[in-house]
Amino acid sequence: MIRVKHLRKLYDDCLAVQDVSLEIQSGTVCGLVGKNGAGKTSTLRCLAGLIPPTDGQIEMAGFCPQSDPVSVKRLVAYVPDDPPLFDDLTVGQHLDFIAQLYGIRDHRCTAFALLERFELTRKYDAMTNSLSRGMRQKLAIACAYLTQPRILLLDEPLTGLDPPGIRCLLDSVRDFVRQGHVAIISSHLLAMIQDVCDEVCIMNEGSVHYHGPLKRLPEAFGTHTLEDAFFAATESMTPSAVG
Amino acid sequence: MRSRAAKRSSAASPREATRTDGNPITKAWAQDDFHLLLGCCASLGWDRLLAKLQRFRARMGSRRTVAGSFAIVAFVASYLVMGVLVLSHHQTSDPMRLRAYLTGGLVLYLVFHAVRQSWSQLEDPDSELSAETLWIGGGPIDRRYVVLRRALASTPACATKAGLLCVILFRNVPSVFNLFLGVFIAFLTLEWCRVAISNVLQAMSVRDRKTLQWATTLMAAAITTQLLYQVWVTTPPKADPIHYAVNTLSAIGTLTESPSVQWLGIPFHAAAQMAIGRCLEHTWVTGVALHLGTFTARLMTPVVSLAVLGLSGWGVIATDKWARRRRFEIEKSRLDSIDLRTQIPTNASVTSLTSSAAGLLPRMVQFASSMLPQSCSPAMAVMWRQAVCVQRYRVNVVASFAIPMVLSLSPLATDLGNKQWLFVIGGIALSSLLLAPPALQIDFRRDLRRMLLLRGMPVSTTSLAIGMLSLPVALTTLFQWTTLTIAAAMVRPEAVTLTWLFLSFPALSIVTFALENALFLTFPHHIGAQGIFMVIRAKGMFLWKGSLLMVCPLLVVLYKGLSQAMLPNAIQDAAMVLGTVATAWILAIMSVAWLIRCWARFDPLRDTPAPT
Repeated sequence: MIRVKHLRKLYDDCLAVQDVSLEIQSGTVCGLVGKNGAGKTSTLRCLAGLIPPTDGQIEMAGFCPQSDPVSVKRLVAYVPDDPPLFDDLTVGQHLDFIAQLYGIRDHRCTAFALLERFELTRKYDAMTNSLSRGMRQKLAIACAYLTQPRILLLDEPLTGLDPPGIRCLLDSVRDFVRQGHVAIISSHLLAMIQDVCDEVCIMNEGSVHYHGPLKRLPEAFGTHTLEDAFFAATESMTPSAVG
Repeated sequence: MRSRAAKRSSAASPREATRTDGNPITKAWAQDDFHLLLGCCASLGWDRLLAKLQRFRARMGSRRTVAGSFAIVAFVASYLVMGVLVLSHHQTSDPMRLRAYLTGGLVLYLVFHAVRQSWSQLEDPDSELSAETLWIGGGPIDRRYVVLRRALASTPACATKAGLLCVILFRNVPSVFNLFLGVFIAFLTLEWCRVAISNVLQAMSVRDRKTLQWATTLMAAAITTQLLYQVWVTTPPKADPIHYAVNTLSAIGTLTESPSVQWLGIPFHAAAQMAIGRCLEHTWVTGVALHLGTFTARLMTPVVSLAVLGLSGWGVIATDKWARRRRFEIEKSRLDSIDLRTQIPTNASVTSLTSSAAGLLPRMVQFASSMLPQSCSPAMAVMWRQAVCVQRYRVNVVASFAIPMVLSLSPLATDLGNKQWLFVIGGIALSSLLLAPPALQIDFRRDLRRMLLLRGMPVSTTSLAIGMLSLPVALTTLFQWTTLTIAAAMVRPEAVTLTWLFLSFPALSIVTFALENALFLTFPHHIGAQGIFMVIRAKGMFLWKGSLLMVCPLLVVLYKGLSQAMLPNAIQDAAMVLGTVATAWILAIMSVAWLIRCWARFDPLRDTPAPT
């Protein structure tokens, strides 16, 4: 579903992504972990087609974000950390707008179901600028699901969410991949990643230091916990390992 | 609300899906669906307009903002009334001259914009992840439509400007409708040319950018030299400065009519021709059209002006495409040139961090901070941050003050009399009021997106307000005092007059920046925002500053007359200086107090407008 080969991204004089190669199959939740400034957000934005990579190849469900950006954007939903919303729309208008933008027919049923799931129904007529940080996050996630993507890219999705919100989101991600889709979650919450993800990708200084199933961590790092593997990969500069 | 939204949604439902994947929701998989975007943008625009109107209604009901809201309504009403009753009664101009002024004026504005843009730091609009970038830019829409949508955002502002201009010019032309349409198309073409220039500049390499900077500056310098020479030859030696002012306006008019400027203004010709209600002249298009009939010939003017508008729209899209490709190429060549054997910088280096903090101005503020008591520390910290910012953009700041300084001192090149001295003072006051605030947007106006952060700082409202004002006021005062010193060295005015000016001008700086910030906090807007309200706001600001410039000298003359009539000769000068200086400083303190009150009452969550 996702193929990335030698992805590199340069900003001015800063090489944010040095060398990222990944292959993620359908029905997989992949956790993207790494220190601050490891290149996670840049990688996700390149995958979403929001920024062009400086070098390397990306293939999202058979489409390339550079040569066929519209097709990629139809298939991919990206929710950034602290997602920006149209502050002069209400929650309902925001969902209507996104549905219209993606050409979704009869979206209201699904929209209400999503609002119900993320406990936003009572905020239907509220302006988005009156929502709390967590509610804004929930609305952005609801908008992402509303577009019916095949690939979901979540950048620090749990920031600001309450415990029921976290549980709800993680359940929704599991349901999503069960339909044969792919989700990538970038997060610093290693326990959550270990709990919900099938694969993990550990990044450090713009490069992938480990990518593979969680169950193969003991082979690569001699430990069962992602936390230990994370420190082993990012502090001792273990050579790249792809499981 | 729900039913209305549902109705709109179903009404705007897209065409039949061409592919389904078994999901309960069906997607329209049409390529480049322009209608889809049109529907989305129309509904988004409508919802936003309703939200803005609601906001305006709420403001009218708020005690805090009602005065300003009424002032805006009063301005629009008085402008229309004055336009119809007074401005429209001026002597009508020759339509052909009007056409030349419109075309040439737009060309001169475009040259000014090119110079300014080439020297300013441009940011890629996609670099910041705004709601527009994420949802519309990240949506399944062809890039061309996203760019076009961004370009169309200036339409309401252009329509407003065209409307305001029509109020003044409608007596000069046979049809107001044609005038509005022509001016509107010309303004929109100008805006799109500006966007195209920005697109090109954003994608230039450092070397090309430098070449362009010098090229545009040379061009502007040539135009200015020609203008000054024209004024010089048309004005007799030792003439009154008012003659220079009148002749400068006349020279600008002559310049706009000059063949070279008119050649550059060819893209605006058809629209300008439409504005004055004439057919296109001396063109093969009209020649062909005339063979077909007068009606066809008349139709050619709007057709050609719309074609030019379409061409400039295409230019925006084409330059965006080119700029994206070029930026990618530059980025890729930089990556290729990185020597992989050396340490690749993955974060800001220590040198770059220290270089941003270093500099004469920040060091001076730091030194001043160390000399002041601890209680001044928060305000000085705010000031230090501004100093770092000014240090970074020092070239622009210096240029912004050097040009007004030269212009203010220019009357002294003709003579060293009292009238010239008065014009120098007027020039300093005008520059302080009108040019300093946009040149030094380093106060509250810069921090709209960080208001919550500012609110959370352990700094009192008074300290923060004073800290925000300090550096802009200090720099403006430096400009005033420097200009005054140079002028005084040449004219040698009385010591009392000079002392009076040295003491009064800083108060003017404080009033200017305090009121600018107080109005900003009451009616906040994002830097670079566009739209009807921004146009009206700009006119309103110009109006109050103009009024202040007119009223203050009158009050001073009145006060001087009163003191001469009522006080003994021995204390007249002292009373004059002390009275006016004290009044100026009381006004300054009052405006700072108003700013502090506005900041204290500013609610970041409620008052921060949505990003445009």
